[in-house]
Amino acid sequence: MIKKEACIILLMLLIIPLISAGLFSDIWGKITGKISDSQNVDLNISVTSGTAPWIYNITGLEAVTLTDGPNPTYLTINFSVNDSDGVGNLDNSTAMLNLTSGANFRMNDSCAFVNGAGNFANYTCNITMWWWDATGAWTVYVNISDSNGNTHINGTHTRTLNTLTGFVMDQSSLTFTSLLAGAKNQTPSNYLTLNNTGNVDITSDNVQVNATDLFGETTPGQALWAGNFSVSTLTGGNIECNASTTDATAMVNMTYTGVVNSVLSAGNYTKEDGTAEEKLYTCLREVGSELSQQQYSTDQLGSWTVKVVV
Amino acid sequence: MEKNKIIKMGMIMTLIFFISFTSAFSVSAPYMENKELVLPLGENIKSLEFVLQNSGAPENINVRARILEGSEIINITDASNIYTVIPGDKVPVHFEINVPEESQIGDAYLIRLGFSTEKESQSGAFGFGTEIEQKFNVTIGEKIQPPAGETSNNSLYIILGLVLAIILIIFFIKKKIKK
Repeated sequence: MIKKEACIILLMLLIIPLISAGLFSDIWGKITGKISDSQNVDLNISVTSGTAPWIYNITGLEAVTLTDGPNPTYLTINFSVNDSDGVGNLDNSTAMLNLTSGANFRMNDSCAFVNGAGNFANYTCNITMWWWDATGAWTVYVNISDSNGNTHINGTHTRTLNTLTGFVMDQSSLTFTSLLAGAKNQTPSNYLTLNNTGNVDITSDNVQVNATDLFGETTPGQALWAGNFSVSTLTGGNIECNASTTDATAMVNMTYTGVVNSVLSAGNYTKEDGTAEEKLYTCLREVGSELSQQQYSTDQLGSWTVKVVV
Repeated sequence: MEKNKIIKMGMIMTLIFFISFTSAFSVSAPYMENKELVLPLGENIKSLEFVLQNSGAPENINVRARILEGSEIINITDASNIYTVIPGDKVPVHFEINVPEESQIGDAYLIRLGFSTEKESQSGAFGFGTEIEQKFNVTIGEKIQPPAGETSNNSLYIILGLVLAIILIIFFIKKKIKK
């Protein structure tokens, strides 16, 4: 009798883990067809010899602050591999790393073997990123093969690129030649060039200019009024002076004003083909007829400022 | 008389407006999906680090960090809000967000931060400065719960199993007593 009870208790001890593992619920689900967590799995089975390597312990995944243009950012990502056929069975030349984000792709096809013993090996990979590489999470793919052709690809990790907002404005000057008092629509012989040195698109009208009145150095009562200036992304035929249209934007004294149609997309501005570049053309639409010959400056109200808003 | 005046005006000026420096600087911010920083309910304080750089410029620049909007919940924790940025360096700017304890899920706060180059304009010059404005929302989100799923299912099954075991033990004991 005691034997029988002992057998029953033993049976119960066997049943409890099966219940806790959800075995009966799975069977019940199969009977009723109500398995909510089931999913289709595609299996590709290829027959090879030996055991496939296994990539684990991927490190160097902290968020990245990219270096702003025009310099690259070098990242290092390390990983470890376990191959039960031994380290000698790994094909070091196949160790690779790539990072993808949407259509963006960066790759290192020559990760370096660092050390290894027994069934374990460590690899390090350097990868070059650029200032215009998209902000957000990039999927990290690491793969390696062994000499039998078994491959393991690990794509379970991401690395985040932080947001980088920046621009460079060329050293330049705005030169108005033969500016006459009372003259209209005077354009300088040069312009401002802005290049995006980050990975954030500056969208329309988010390049802004804060203009200030330029007061006379000798006769402070006289000024070139900020409101008489306009800025445009267009030039030719004094189009940058057409502040009454959507071609140009009239400045407002001490107020940030978005330059109409100004866009500064992220990209490789060093190509010098217009990528990640915006030109700002200015116009002095009216020179006061009361003005005298003297130096005019921003001393009184402060510098003009070009701002990008993201 | 009017003609004379125009002639006099006509002699006035050739102007060269000097832009007194090259500006090249950038601000790096933690990645925020849709420019939104979600703080779980109950997590009232959050540190944020922005990074200033000056790669494309030939010389050091001074950058002033300012809170343009949202100063009721964010402040700069560095000793000064003016930072000298050497070309090639990455200079951190530290902020701390402190949302009111009574904040509710869905509450949102707009933050606008301004980073501007500081340059003393020379007398008689046409000074030009640059600024980068960063906007984002701080939103109060759901409290972070410990992952549920399998753990809770397993717990349920273990409890069921134990109850079943106890019932069976009681059943056999009673049966034994009867005998």
